[in-house]
Amino acid sequence: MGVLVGFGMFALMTTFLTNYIVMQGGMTADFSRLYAPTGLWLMALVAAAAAFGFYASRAGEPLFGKFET
Amino acid sequence: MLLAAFIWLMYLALEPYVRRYSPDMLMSWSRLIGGRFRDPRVGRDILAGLCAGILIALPAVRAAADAAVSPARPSPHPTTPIDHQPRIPSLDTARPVRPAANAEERAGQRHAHHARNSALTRMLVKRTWLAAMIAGLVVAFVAVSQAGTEYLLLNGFSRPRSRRSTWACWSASACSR
Repeated sequence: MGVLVGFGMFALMTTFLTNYIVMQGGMTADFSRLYAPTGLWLMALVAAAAAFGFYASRAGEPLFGKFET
Repeated sequence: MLLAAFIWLMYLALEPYVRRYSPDMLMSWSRLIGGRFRDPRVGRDILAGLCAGILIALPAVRAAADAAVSPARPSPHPTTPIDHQPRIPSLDTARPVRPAANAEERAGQRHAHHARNSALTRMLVKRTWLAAMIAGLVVAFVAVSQAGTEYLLLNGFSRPRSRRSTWACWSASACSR
């Protein structure tokens, strides 16, 4: 509810999707498991979403700021 | 399809009210469906949602790691019929791949329920913060009555730490056996 009030409906959607991916995605460090590739793809999906969110939230500014020399 | 139709109808019914009284809630969603994928607000909400989703899952992940470290400890989670590993989130538990396939559908259902509860409560009490508190209490009450405190991941906080580190077990497949 805090996410819904503070950040809005889209953030709540992302929260639920991420939570379900992390909790139900069958992630494992044992790559011999049958579901290991699925877990890896889901982890990659979450990482890609985070990277895109960071890129978009910078609004065209340099991603890590400007370094003064 | 029927569920999606219901959620769509609910969205159509509640959207004008929410847009009038709490337009901030729909701002990034409106920009997203308007095609402005690179809008900074959309990016901010993606990051906020990712952080919140992972933070909510952390106690369960820790509980799963503790259960994997010491399998002799009785686990409150049910076991799968395949190899009697705890059916708990993530890590090296035996889980079918199927739950991941409908994760977005179930997440959509949950999201729709929360948004609907919040909007309907907001109609009744006319205060956004009060509506959020009431809707949160209702959701917590329903969750606890259906699945006990395990659903709210409260048990994850009370588990004693094991001697072996969580990461050491997470990265070693033998811990889950």
